[in-house]
Amino acid sequence: MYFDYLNVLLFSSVGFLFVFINMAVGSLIRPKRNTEEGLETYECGEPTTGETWIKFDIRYYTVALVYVVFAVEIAFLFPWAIVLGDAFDNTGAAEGSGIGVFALVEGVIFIGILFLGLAYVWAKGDLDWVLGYEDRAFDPGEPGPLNPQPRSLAQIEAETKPAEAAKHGDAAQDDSEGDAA
Amino acid sequence: MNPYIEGMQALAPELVLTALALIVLVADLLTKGKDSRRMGYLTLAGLAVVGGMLALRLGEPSQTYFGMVIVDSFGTFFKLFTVAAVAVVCVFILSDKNERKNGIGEYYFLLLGASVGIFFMVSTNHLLLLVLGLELLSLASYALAGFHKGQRKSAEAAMKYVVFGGLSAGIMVYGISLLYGMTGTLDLAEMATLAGDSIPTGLVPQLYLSAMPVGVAMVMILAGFAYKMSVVPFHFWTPDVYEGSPTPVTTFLAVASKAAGVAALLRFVGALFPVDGVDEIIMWYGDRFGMLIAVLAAVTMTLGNLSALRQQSLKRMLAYSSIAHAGYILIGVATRTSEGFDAAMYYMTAYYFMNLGAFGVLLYFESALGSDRIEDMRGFGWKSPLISIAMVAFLVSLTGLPPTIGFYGKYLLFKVGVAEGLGWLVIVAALNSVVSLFYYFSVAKSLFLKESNDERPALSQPLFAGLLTAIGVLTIFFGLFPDSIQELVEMCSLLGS
Amino acid sequence: MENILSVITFIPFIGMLIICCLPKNSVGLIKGVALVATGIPLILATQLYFGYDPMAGADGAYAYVEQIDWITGIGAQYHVGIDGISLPLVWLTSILLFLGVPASFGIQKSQKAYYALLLLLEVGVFGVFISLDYFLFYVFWEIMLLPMYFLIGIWGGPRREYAAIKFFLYTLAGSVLLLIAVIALRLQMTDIAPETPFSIPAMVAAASEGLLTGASLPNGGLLLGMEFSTWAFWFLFIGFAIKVPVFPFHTWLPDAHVQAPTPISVILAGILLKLGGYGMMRACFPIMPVAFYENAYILAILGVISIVYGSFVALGQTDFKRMVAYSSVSHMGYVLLGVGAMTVWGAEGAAMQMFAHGTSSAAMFMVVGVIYDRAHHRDLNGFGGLSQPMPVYWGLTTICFFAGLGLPTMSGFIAEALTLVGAFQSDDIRFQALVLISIIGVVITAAFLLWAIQRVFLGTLNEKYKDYPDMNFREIFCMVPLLILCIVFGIFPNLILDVMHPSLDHLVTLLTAGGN
Repeated sequence: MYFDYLNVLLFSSVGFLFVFINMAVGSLIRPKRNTEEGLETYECGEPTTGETWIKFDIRYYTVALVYVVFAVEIAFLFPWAIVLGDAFDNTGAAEGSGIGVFALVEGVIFIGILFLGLAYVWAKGDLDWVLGYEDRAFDPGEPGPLNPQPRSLAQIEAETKPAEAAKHGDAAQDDSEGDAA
Repeated sequence: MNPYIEGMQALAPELVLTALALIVLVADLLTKGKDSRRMGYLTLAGLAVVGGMLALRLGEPSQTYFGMVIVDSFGTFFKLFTVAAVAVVCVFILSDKNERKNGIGEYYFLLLGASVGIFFMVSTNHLLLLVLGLELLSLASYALAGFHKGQRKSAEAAMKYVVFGGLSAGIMVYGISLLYGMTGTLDLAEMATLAGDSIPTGLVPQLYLSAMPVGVAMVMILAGFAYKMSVVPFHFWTPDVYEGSPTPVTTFLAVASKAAGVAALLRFVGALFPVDGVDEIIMWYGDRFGMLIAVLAAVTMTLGNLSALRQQSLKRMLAYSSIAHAGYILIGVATRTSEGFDAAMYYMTAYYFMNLGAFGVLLYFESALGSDRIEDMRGFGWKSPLISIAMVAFLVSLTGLPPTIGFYGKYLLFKVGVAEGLGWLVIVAALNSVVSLFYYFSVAKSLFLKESNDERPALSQPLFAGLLTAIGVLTIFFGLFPDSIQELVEMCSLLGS
Repeated sequence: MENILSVITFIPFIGMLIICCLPKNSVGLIKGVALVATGIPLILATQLYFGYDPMAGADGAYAYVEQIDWITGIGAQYHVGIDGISLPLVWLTSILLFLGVPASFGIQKSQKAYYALLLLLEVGVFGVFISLDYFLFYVFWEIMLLPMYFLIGIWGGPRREYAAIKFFLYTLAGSVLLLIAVIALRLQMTDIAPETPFSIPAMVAAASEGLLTGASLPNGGLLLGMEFSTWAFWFLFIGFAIKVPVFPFHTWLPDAHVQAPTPISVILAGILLKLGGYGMMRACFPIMPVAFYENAYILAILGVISIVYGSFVALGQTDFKRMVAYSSVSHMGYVLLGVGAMTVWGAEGAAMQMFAHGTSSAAMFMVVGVIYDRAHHRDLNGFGGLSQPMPVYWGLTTICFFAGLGLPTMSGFIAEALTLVGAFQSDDIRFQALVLISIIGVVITAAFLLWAIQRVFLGTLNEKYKDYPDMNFREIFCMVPLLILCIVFGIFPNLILDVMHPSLDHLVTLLTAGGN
């Protein structure tokens, strides 16, 4: 019985070994030049700025979520669309099932629910990209270190602009120093 | 007739419930969320329709549709249970002023969506549909747990619930995949039957080969059920999530969601390891599985009760008490007999009355006092006597004392435990109910024995008080005359009698 | 009247419902309803007592039986009836609850709730005494706890919350064990008496035929390595012993007594303690006769420890009420000793002791209540010379204490004498030794009661107490009937012994048969 799983063991150990051996070989034979540029995180040729731990705007997630939902639903619709013809003719994969009209109605209901979802997101304003915080029916809750109070766009711009300007200034200085060195 | 149309007819309650959920969502959009109370009434009306459809189906013979959906009285029982629980939760939302403010259309939509999940969860022997139903229920519950947007505790509850839910669902699905790999099927009924002619499939040959991988799979699958029922060691989320969620949601989680877990577990154990199994080795293995559940039961009830002892917050205390009650229910599951399952179902019904009542009283005190601390309820029994006396009835029932429904439920569980040789477990459970008396009656103590120094008058909520009194009266009535519920349970028995 | 027992039991319940519907401030009306609702059962029970044909209880028969299906799912029935053991206790209950109402007139706090709970308590107590179905018995047994918890917890003394929950926890711990044993018995009765699996007479009959051996249970009834007869007997016994209370389980009693308001102490000492002794005689010993026969001397030893230990502890008390509470522990020890001896005299002594103690200790708690209402403390050493301002009180107290210490011409004397003689009659030498030891308890009881009289009533009068009014009419009215009962049954013990004799005779036959 345990012997049956030997192939699994073999497969996984070979897999592990393959990765490690290759990496080891690579590290042995590749040239090593530890320059400052070489050690930096690669970011499409642009110089890196700031921390990687930053907050993304929540709106990205909303859009991504809506996108994923629709992408997955489309994956369901393709097989349905392909078999639908057979279902009407009672041939091929759907032979003898007599599912034709039923399948069509069900598919339409499915798409209808999808549209309902889209309409919901739309009506709730989650597709509006530019959005004042005041527009949202949102109970901010008690303020605290982890729960900063919502601010208007104007406030945020006023707060962030000078800081960003200063940061850019610093970065420019750093760059120039680096160049000089 | 076309089998698909036939299947859809059989699934009419589910379809109506789904349609109801969508209608509530659209109607809320169209009315732009104005006066969401209307959504509540709409939901209640729809639930009444679904409940009526279900009630008509009680007692009909079991049928399987689409190869995975079983429509039988057992499932109908738990569907009715869910509908009744959600209806009371809706009344909670409607009659409480704070919750009403939150009670926008999505509240009802999510509750109904979760109910659809429960409907499928309790009516299948197919592990795939089981997981789908469980996930639908869980996803809706995550959102519900965080429904007090902006309140940190609520957000924390939702987050913890998601993390724990994801973890245990993952473990469960992994276990299911192992089981599928070993037996070649996801259908429990098929898994339990003796193998066909040529290819050895099913559990029996696998057990003859080796019991260990089956054990690993079983324990992993049990994790999923344990999570939904809040059985140790998958109970950690319970107190925090119960405490952080809005109280109506807590009620839903404690009653409907837990019942769904119980129903699914009963189906699972009943299909794979009934006490009179198809094969010697199944019976042998079933004994070990039953012993595992019995040990879990003992640990769960003891841990739940001991943790509840020191709680200051009524909500948290009820959360721990719900863990303890999961332990009691497991006694019935561990026996793996028809009587044991019936006792578990009866206890679930008892649990329905007493917990809905207790959470209702909690909600009342939250709006009257703005606090769920037991200490803050000092002397309140004299100010709102009706609700407080009802609360005493719920507490007595939760402790398991006559003449309440909780006592009769416990009696049935104890009886089946003693009859099936789980006497030690029954003793543990009995001593646990003594322990539980202490913390349940700390509430009664606070309500009646302490002097009040709070000048605030009692809240006048006639609808709410009426509902709670009615539940209280039923708690006592069904304790004295439990025959009607017992007949219902026996009619809906899973294993047949 | 065929269903007189049900009428007696549920009239207080109707009274409770009426009180619940009355407005909170119509206090007079509430008290009136309470008096009527306890008065009618008293009249009916008195009629029942004097109209009872003792032979109706012979050979394990029951009088005024009612048998109706109740929970068909498990075969529980509403099955009630009385015999010579329960009838005196039903009567005692009706007397004490009726007297408890006027004794409670001094209570000012939330009277509506108080009288409602008092009546609910009466329902539970009556129910236990008349139940012949074990399920019904258990339900009434537990129903009683709830009103008691609130009565001690709301209207009690400074440490009432502690005392109330302690009382509740102790009793519940005992009764869950009881429940497990009942379930095990019920499972065996399924085949023996499928129609009435909970019936106590059926269980007794099955036990006397040696059918309740646990053989039909899984593992042959083995639990935690104990034989069925062993664990079932001890579970039942502990369940009842906590209520009695027998020596190691007695610690809830002083707390509950001291903290409870006077009328509740009276009822607690007068009736609730009897429930334990009654439960043993009705629903423990005859159901497990073999185990009882084997362990009878252990029970008798526990009884003697209670007698001697209780009296010594009472001797050391300075709190008047605590002293009386411990005297109850001591007195209830006789019940165990008498039944454990398995002689007819011993059993009669035990049954009579329950009645005699029910009247005398109830009166003693009223005595404590009278002085506490005036002085607001109970320190025995703080009084002195009270015989001068309160001569009536002194006289009644003395009669009452004499009844308590078992002076001849008092019912306590008959009971204790019968118990001791009965135990001495036993063939077993160990019992004769135990009787000798328990004599110490008799002496010490006399000592602490007389010493208490001396400290409270004799000696120099404290100036503070000079103006105390003597007992008023209400207090006298509550106490005198109890003292009359003590004296009447002390002089004419046959009034009660005749009623009890046939039933006890049958009980002893059943118990001694356990040895064969």
